[in-house]
Amino acid sequence: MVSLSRHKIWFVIFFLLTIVLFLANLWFGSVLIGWERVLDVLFHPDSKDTLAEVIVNQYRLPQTITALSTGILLSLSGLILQTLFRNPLAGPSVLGISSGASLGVALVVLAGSAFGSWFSMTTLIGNLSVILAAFAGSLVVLLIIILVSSRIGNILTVLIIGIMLGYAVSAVVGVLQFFSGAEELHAYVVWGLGSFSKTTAVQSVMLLVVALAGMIVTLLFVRPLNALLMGERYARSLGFHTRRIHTLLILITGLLVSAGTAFTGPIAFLGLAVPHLARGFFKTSQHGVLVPSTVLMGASLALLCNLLARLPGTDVSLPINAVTSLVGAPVIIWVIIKGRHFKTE
Amino acid sequence: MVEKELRIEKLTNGFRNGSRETVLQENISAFLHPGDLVCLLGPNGAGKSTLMRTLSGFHQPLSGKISFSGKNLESMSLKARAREVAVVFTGQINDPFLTAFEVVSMGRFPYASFYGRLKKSDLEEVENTLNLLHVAHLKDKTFYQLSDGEKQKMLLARALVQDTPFLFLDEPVAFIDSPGKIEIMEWLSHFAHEQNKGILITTHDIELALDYADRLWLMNREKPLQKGIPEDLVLNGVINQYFDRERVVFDPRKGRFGSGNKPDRQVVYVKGDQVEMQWLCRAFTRMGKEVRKATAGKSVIYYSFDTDHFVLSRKDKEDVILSTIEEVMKREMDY
Repeated sequence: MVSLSRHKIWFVIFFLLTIVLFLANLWFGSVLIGWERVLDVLFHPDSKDTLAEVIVNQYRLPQTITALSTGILLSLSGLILQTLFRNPLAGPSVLGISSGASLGVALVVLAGSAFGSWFSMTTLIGNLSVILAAFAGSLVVLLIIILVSSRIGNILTVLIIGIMLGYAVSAVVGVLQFFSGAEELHAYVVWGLGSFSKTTAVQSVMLLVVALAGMIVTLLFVRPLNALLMGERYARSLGFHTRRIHTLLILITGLLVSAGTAFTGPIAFLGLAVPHLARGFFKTSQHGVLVPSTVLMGASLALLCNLLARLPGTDVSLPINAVTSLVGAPVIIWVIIKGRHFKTE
Repeated sequence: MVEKELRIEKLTNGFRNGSRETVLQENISAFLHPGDLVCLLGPNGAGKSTLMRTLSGFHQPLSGKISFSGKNLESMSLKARAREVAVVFTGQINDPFLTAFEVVSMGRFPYASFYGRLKKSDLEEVENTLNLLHVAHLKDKTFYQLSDGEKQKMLLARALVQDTPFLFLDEPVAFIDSPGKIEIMEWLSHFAHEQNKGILITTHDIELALDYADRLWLMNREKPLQKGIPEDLVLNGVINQYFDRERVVFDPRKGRFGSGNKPDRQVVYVKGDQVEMQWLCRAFTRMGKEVRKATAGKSVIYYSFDTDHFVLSRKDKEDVILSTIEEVMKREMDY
């Protein structure tokens, strides 16, 4: 148990790193504001500095909180799914839940033009209907997956059905895209590229609450998650209701992914890569260590990606998905190469 | 206090697929008592693993009743089952970071707090069991890096710390080298006799089962489950009925399987029964010759301790002295 105190030191370091990156996200951007002014706005609500207040409070703060929360949500669900399916390449997209969100958005954004316009473009982007559509779409897919997993004991079957459902949903989205107008198509593609900056301050705080709640709920599942490391049969022989646990964990991750995707669009690789970083760094599979470290690493990696995407000091910014993919893909390649290494031994 | 026992009554085992039923065995009735090591033996596909899965509550029997110490398995909670029987399955555990200690300590999960924290007494029990099996020095290694024999011992340790009156092990000696097999069987026999566990294992290895099992359960798709102590099942020829194939028969003298007698075999005469001669006879048998004890007036082979050599003594000819069995074989084949 000596190692636990070593882990605690690293937890503190990663927590401080998250705070530093959080502040850096408020400080750096296309307009450079001195850190004194940033702190002034943050800690004195009656500040006279209106420019800084508008930039920090209305733009950077919600975006930063959204990045932090989404990082936590997606990384946690990636961790749970990888343990649940005993597959290192499981991630938030495998159950078709993010495809479900895409379908919801596609129906709202694209179907308008396909079936005659009943939405005007101005009300479409960044408004509540897109968020609700994404959330509803992912919940429908989640519901199907839950129904399947409560009937079918074999978790691999559930995984395959989830992936197939994702393909089917994407096909429907493809058809909608084919019949929609250029403007709507552009709006949909932009949503698909993902963004942390579509949320209002209130929404971003809501997202943070969901993320923290997700973390607490996941901590309650540390023991069953650890038992699943040796496989379903051993977990069951140790007294765990594996089927019930599967269904509950799928429900939890489904809600986490739905919440994350609804506000930001699908964000690639974070959920897949962060659990591997946590495992590789702490060299453990114990969820008592992995849950907190995944939360901290997920938060800081999302903040880092957001900062990079902003290209501080310039007027342009990159789509967040481009940055997360460029950071995440090498991690996955590393995992695959390492995985092959131990299998051929 | 109800007596600890596993009772199987009129169990019909098999698979149900829609309305179609595939029956593996019908009407099985048997007991497993603490203190007994029982080997479930049968050819591949006889349904050994399925029966074991059924007995541990992972598979629904087609009909019949299974009870642990008077409690019906079906009505027992998973938690209650986990305190009655610990199971070792076949199959790999490939987690890249899970350590041997973590694997073994999972056996204490049925006794752990909600968050999974193990008490000091739990950790001590894990340490004691690792020490008992002489694997404590391996505890911090990653589980998948251990040898097959070491893995099996860790899985046995995991089952032992679960502290149940019954242990089920599916193929515990498959894929392990011979000394490792014997070591595992010695431990199982030890835990049955010294710690009064009721242990049920499946295996293909008849010779090992005959050496170590207190009782055998013989299984075959066509015949009913046969139970008994190994020696009786050998003498009354039941073992033969369950395993014999054409050309492969059980030799009750040797206690193992071999190819049956072939007609028109060349006869070799030998003298003495030292270790060296036993191995020589084995080599002759493998080459398809019949080995007989020497009678007067024949050419004979014996082993000389004076020279540490095999001697081919032939009538009216000079003795030939050879140092290895290979040389003897070569010489004999020339005739």
